[in-house]
Amino acid sequence: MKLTCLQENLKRGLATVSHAVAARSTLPILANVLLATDGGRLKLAATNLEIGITHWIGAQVQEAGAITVPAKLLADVVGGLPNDRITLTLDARTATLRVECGRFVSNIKGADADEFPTMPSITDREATISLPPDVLRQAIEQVAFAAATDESRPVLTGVLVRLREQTMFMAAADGFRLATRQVPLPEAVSKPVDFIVPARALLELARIAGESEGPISMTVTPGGGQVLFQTATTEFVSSLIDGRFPDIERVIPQQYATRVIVDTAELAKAVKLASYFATASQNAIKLTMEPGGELGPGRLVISANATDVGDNRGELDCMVQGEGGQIALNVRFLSDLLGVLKTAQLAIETQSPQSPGVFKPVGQEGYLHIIMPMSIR
Amino acid sequence: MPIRLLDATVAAQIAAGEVVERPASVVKELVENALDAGARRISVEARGGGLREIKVLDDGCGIPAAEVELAFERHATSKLGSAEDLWRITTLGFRGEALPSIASVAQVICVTRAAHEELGTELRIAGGELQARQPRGCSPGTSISVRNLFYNTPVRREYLRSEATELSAISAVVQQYALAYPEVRFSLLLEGRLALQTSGDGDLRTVVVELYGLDVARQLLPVESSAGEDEQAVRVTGLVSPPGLTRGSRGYLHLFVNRRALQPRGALAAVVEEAYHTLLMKGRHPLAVLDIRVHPLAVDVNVHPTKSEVKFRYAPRVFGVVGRAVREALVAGAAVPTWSGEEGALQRRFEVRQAGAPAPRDAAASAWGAGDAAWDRERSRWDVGAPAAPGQVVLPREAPPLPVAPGRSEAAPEAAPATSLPPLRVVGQVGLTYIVAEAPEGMYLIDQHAAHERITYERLMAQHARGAVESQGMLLPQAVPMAPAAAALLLGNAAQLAAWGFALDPWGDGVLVRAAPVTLPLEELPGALHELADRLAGQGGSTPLDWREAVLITLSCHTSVRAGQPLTLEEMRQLLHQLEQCVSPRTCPHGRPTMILMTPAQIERQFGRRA
Ligand SMILES: Nc1ncnc2c1ncn2[C@@H]1O[C@H](COP(=O)(O)OP(=O)(O)OP(=O)(O)O)[C@@H](O)[C@H]1O
Ligand SMILES: [Mg+2]
Repeated sequence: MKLTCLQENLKRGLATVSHAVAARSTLPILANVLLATDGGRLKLAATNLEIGITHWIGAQVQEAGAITVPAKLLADVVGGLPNDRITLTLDARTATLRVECGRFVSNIKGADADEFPTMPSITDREATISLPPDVLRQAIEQVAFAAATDESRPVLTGVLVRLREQTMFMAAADGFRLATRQVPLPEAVSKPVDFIVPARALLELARIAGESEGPISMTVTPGGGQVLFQTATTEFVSSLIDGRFPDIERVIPQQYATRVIVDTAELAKAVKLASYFATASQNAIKLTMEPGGELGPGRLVISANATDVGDNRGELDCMVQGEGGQIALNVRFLSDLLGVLKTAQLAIETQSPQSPGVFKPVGQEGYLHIIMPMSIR
Repeated sequence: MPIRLLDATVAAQIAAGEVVERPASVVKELVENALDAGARRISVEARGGGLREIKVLDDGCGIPAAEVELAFERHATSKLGSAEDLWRITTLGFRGEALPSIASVAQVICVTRAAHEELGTELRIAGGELQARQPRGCSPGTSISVRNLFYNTPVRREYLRSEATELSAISAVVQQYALAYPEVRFSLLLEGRLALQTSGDGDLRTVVVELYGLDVARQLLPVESSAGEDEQAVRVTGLVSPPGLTRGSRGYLHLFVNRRALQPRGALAAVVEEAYHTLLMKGRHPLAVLDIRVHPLAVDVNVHPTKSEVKFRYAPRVFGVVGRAVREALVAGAAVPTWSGEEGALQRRFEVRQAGAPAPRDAAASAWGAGDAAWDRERSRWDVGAPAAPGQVVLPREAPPLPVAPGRSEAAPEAAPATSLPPLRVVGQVGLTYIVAEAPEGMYLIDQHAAHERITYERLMAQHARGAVESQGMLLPQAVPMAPAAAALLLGNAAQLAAWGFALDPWGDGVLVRAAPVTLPLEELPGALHELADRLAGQGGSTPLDWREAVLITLSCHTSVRAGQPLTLEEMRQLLHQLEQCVSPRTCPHGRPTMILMTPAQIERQFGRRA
C-alpha cells in the first residue's frame, strides 16, 4: 500500500472514526484503526462492536493495500505533523506503516487488516429513508437524553425509531420521563419498521450529522440486527437492542387541567437559580401555576427549598389557562429538557400534582416531553 | 368440694409461689431488706445450690426485739405508713410479703439486733410456724439463714434446675445489687468459696472491674445526664460500652430505676439498644450499667410480683432522656479503631481514650511531630524524623483534646457533630474499595461503601424525620418479581413504605412500583425491595423503630457507592467532607468501622525503625 493525502483530511478523518475505537477492550485489534485503499480514496474504519464508523478521504493511491494501526498513536502522530502532504507506505512484510510528511518520518507497527472485524456496508442495499442532517441531529438531541443510563432495563437505554408512511417517530424513556419526536419524511417508507438503537450510538450519529451537509440515508440490515446511516463520506453502523419497547402511548395524557405558556429562556434562568437549592435537597423543584385575574397575566412560581442550605423563589409572568395548580419535578430532568428546546416559548400542561407534566415547545410541532412528578409537600 | 377458707400457712405458701420461685428469689428479697435497712456491708452465702442454706448477713438497722415476730407476719412492713405511701415508695420492699413467704417454705433462723438495743433476738420459724425464740448477744444488724428451701413443697423443688444454674442465678442477683449500690460492700460465698467481693468505695467503675475485669471497665464510657424538675425530673448516670465492645445476650444490660434492678427487656432495654442502633451488629448487645432516678411519684413499682418491672408515669420523657444520654456518651467516646499489625493479623480494636486514662503507649512514643493545629490538609507534614535513639527521652505528644459530652443533654442540638474526624488528606484509592488518607495521627484506610452508607443513612434519617423523603413517580411502573410472602409483607405495610417514598401495587408475581425514593437508583430498586422484605420478615414483632431501622439500613446500602467503583480525587474529598458532617462518622449503619488507623508507630515498627 502506498498513497498520498493531505494531513488536514487525514487528521479530520481519524477524529471522525476515533469515536468508535474501543480504548479498553479484550480484543486489542479494536484499539486499531483500519486504513485501506478504496478506488481513488483512503478508507478509515474503527469499531467497538457496538458501533462502527467508516470514513473516506481523498488520496492519490499508487499501490492498493490495507493495514490496521493503533488509532491513538496514528492520530497523535498525524496531529503533530505540519499541514502538508502525507505519504503512507506499508511494509507488508513487517506490517509497518511509514508516515512521511516534510522532513518527518515515523514508522508505526500495525496488525494485519484481515484480523479487523468486517462491518456491514450500505452500498448494495436500498436506503429505507433519507433525511436532512440537521433535522436528524435535532431529533436525536431532543430525544436521546431521556434514555436510561443504567442497564437494568436494556430497552430503555435505547431510542425507539418507528417508521410509518411519511413519518419517523422517535421515543426514549428512562422510567421517569419520556421524550418523543415526530419528523415528516420526504417520501413514504415502503413498509413499517420499528427498531431500538442504543442512545449512545445515536448521539455519536448526531455528531457525524453535525459535520455533514448532504442528506443522510438510513437502512436496517435484513436480519434486523443493525442499522446503517450514510452520508457522502461517512458510514455509521450500530447494533440494535433486542426487545420490545414499552407501550408509551398509554402514558401520554390526553387532556390537561392547567396549561401554561412561558418564555423558555426566562424559565431556564429561573430553574437554574432554583437548582442551586434543589440539588442540595433531593433535586425537588416546585412549579406553582396561578391563573391571572381579569386584567393581569398569570404567574408561574418556581421554588426550591433545602433545609440545611436555604431556599429560593422566582416568579414569571405567563399565560395560564385553566385552574392553576402545583407540580414538583426533579430539577435535573427539567434542566435537561430546557437545554434542548429551541423555541422561544414552551407550553406546560398538568392535571394534578400526581400526574405527569407535559411539555411542548410552542411553534415546533411533533415534540413532546413528559416528566413524572415528585411528591409534593 | 365445699368452699373453704384456706388456712394461713397454705395461703402463705400460695403467696410464696409468687414471691419465691427459686433460691435466687430468696437472695433477692433478703438483700433488698438488708439494703432497705441501710446496710454498708452485706454478705451472702449459699450452699447446696441455695437449697441447703442461704444466709444473708448485714450491718443495717436491725429489727427491734419487740417487732421480730411481726416481721414474719403477712402484710407486716415498716416501710409503708399509709395507702398514699404506696405512690411514693423509696424503699425496695413495701409489701410485707417476703419474710412470711420465705418462712412458709423453709426453715428460717433470724438473728437480729437493733442498734439501740443491747441484746439481739434469735427467732426460728419452719413452714410458717414459730419454733423458738430467745434473746441472743450479737452485733447490730441482721442475719437471716434460710435452710432446706421448699422442703415442704416438693413439687416446686422438682422444678428447679441444676445446682450450678441456681448458683449462677444467685450470683447474678448479687452482681445486680453490687452494681446498683457501689457504696455497699458486698461479698458472696458460693459453696464456701468467695465468688465476689466489692470494695464499697462508691465508684461504679471499681465494681465493674470486679465483675468484668480491668480491660472491659477501662473501655466503658461514662453516662451522665439529667433533665426536668420535681416530679418530671429524670437523672441517668452509669457506664456504657463503646460499640466495639458487645455481648451476645442482654445479660449485660444492667438497668436500675431508683436503685431497683429491672429485667433487661421491654421498652427501656430497647431504648438503650436503640441509642446504639446502627453501631451494633445484629445479635449483639451492649454492656451497660444505668442508674435511672425519677421522682418516686413518677414511677409505679407495684406492677410485678417480683418487682422486676416498673411503670413510668412519664415514660416517653424518661426514655427520651435515657436514649439521649447513652447516645451522647457514645458519640463523645467514639474513636477510630486502629489497625494493629501485631501477630500479623488485621485486628480491629477500638482505642477509647477516656478522660484521665493514660494516652495509648503508641501515641506517647510517637516521633510524629505535627500537632493538629499545624496540620496542612493539602500537604503531608508527617514529621517522621529519626527514630528515637535508645535511652533518649521522647516527650509524649500531647493527646488531642477529648471530646466532652455536653452536660446538659436537653439543650444539646442533635445535629451538631460532637465527634469530629481528624483533618484528612486524601492520598488515593486502593483496590477500588478503600480511600487512603493521612491525618496527624497516622494513615487511615476508609471503606468507601461503609463511609457513604453512613452519610446516606444520616441524611435519610434526617429527611424521614422531617417527613421529607422525596418520592419520584414512575412513568412506567416497574414490576419487581418476588415471593408471595415477601410481596404481601411489603404491600401490607404500604402506609409506612409511603413515608419512605415507595408507592407499591399488587402485581402477579411480586409488586408493581409506582414511585420510589428519589435517591434510590432504579437499578437498585429490585435489590432494595428484596432486602427490605427480608429484613422485615426477620423482625417478628416489628416495632416502628425496627421498621425505621430496616428501611434506613436497606436504603442507605442501596444508594451508596459500591466497592469496586473508581472514585476521582475530588469525589473522595467530597465523600470525606460529608463524612465529617456525620454524627457518628466512624461506623457504618451495620456497625462495622468506616475507617481504620495505622499509627506511625505501627508503621515504623513494621519497617524495623523501632522495636
Ligand atoms: N435485714 C433487715 N434489717 C432490718 N429490718 C428488716 C430486715 N429484714 C426485714 N426487716 C423488717 O421486716 C419487715 C418485713 O420484711 P419483708 O421483706 O417481709 O417486707 P418488706 O420488705 O416490708 O416488703 P416486701 O415484701 O416488699 O419485701 C420490713 O418491713 C422491715 O421492717
Ligand atoms: Mg422485703
